[in-house]
Amino acid sequence: MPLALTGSCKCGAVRFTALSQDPCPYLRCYCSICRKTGGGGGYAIGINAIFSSLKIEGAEAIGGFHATLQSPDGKPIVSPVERQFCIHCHTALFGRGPDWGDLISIAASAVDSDLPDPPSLAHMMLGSKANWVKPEIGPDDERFEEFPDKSVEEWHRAHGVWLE
Amino acid sequence: MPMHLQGSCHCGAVRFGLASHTPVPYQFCYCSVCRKTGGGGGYAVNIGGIAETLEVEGADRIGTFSARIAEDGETVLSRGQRKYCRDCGTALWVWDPRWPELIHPFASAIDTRLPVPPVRTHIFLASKPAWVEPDIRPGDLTFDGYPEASLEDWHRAHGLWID
Repeated sequence: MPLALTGSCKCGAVRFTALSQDPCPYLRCYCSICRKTGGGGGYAIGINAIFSSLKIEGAEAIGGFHATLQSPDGKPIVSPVERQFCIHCHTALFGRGPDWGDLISIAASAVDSDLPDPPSLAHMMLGSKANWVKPEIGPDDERFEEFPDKSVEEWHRAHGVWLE
Repeated sequence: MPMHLQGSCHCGAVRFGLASHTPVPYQFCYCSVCRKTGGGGGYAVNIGGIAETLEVEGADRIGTFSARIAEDGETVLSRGQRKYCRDCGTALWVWDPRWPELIHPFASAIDTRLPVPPVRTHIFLASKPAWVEPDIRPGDLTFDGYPEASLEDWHRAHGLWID
């Protein structure tokens, strides 16, 4: 059975509930977008939830941001992923891309209910980390300079922690 | 001479520079304000700077958030002013009128390479959720609430204060 999540921003203007089949906070992203907009320790952690199950109170307090990235040839590209945050206290809340189907990414740090303990971690976008960030890599952890080799769903299934 | 730090939000609407005697990102804060508003991995890292040296471009894009916190059993509005970019949500710095000469930028907003801390201090561990498992390494200090040493004391004690 999917896990029911409840969450909120710090000031309480935005509150939400959602169901998740892949709620383990195992994926640490060290990219500059995650770090600057919500991962002050060096990385942020997104978990997945079922978009159609998401219920929001205070949606009018949500702001959106599309990051501008650099393509390999140095041209700016605007990310199709919208990152949403509370406009009053700037708590990072959700991320969603146009082709994500029934998925939404939720910042683990915005969730107030208990999350499952991940059996191991995956570290992604290590090529983008700040010099002072020293990742904690456990013996079973996976590391990636850029994107990981599995989707969040595949990782949960491979580790036997997918919630049917 | 103090170290010069350059910082910015992710979208680039706000850029800033300041001088710092205490630029080592050694203090990891797990309080709910830091975690929710800018410490998505479980904690945020503030460093110290000299407030009067702050220079800002894009000041009109900066928002201010003061959290409600518990103080002596009552809920009060924190005097700490948390500054962030209103366009992309990046946490920028904290300034508190009780210590007007100090400013506390988030290490994550700084673009200059920072000194790597030899040991770290973990604070407000009593406020962390269960899924956050702190990476406590040999020599690190841990506190349920506030630490014993100020940023200045810590930098001086470790020979890392930059005069």
